[in-house]
Amino acid sequence: MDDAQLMQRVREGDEAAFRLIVETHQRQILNLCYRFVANQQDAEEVAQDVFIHLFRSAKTYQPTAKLSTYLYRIAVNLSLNRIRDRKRKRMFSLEAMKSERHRELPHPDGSPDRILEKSELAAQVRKVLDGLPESQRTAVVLKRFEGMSYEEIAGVMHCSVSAVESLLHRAKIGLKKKLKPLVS
Amino acid sequence: MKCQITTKELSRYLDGELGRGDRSQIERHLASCPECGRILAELKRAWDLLELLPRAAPAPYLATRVLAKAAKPAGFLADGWFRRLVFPVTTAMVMAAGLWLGSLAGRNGETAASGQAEETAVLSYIDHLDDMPSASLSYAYFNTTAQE
Repeated sequence: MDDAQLMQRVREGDEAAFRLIVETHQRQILNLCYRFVANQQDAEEVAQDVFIHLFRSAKTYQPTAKLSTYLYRIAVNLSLNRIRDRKRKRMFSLEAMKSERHRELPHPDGSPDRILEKSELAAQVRKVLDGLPESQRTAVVLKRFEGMSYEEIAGVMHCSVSAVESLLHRAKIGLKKKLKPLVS
Repeated sequence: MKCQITTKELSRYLDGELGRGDRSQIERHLASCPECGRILAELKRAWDLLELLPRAAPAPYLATRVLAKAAKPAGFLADGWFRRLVFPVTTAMVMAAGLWLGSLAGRNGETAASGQAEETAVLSYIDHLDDMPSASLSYAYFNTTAQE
């Protein structure tokens, strides 16, 4: 059964068809959301919302793209919304100011292996990734973690392949620059 | 970069997005250009560091939770746009009602204050009637009764 047929059955109220979609895609969608929001609870909530959104938009769903592309698109949008909401809420909180202080990159003179434990290093990388513009970050997540081709990323992001190429090029330059103490 | 290979091409090479011909060309160039080799190594190292980011833990009941939530009808308050509209409007209405009630209370206060002023003025006139000559009978009478 292809995606269009499955969605047709969901539209007709077939719970088993919807369950099949959720069970097939839940792992990828949860991981994708987690790559953006970096928090298990938030990732689970956003992943749930992705499938609920799909369920409620079943009547208007047009099979113009693969179902997985459609799901990825919703997941990216809802994850970015979640991050924006969280930023708004935390903007003036003392907790945010405190945690920012811990995230400064190590001095380039020191050896990164000695200075930072793996989890601390991951926190630095996370901060640099979060500091990229949304479109670059989205392209990086889809390429690096989901292993998508430029064409697939263009499908999810609603842009051209050359735009994806530019986004990833600029993202790599940005990552290299900001992670300089760790890469040179 | 001073040679004919751009960082954009190195980025595409790293992403595995080049055709076989272009890939061979880049590899031949890299073999003879240490500067491009260094840039590619740094780009790759930065790219590889992303692998340090953890994955989500499995969520075994996600499908069950989704199905339970999907079974519930979407309420008005569940819709983001509705919630975003209702709460600010309600808050604005409550504040407007508070201001209106406050202005009403203020107006009543003014009325009460003006009434009190009138009463004070009348009493001051009445006080004039209280003045009695000290040698008069009425003065003696009031003094006597006051002492009693």
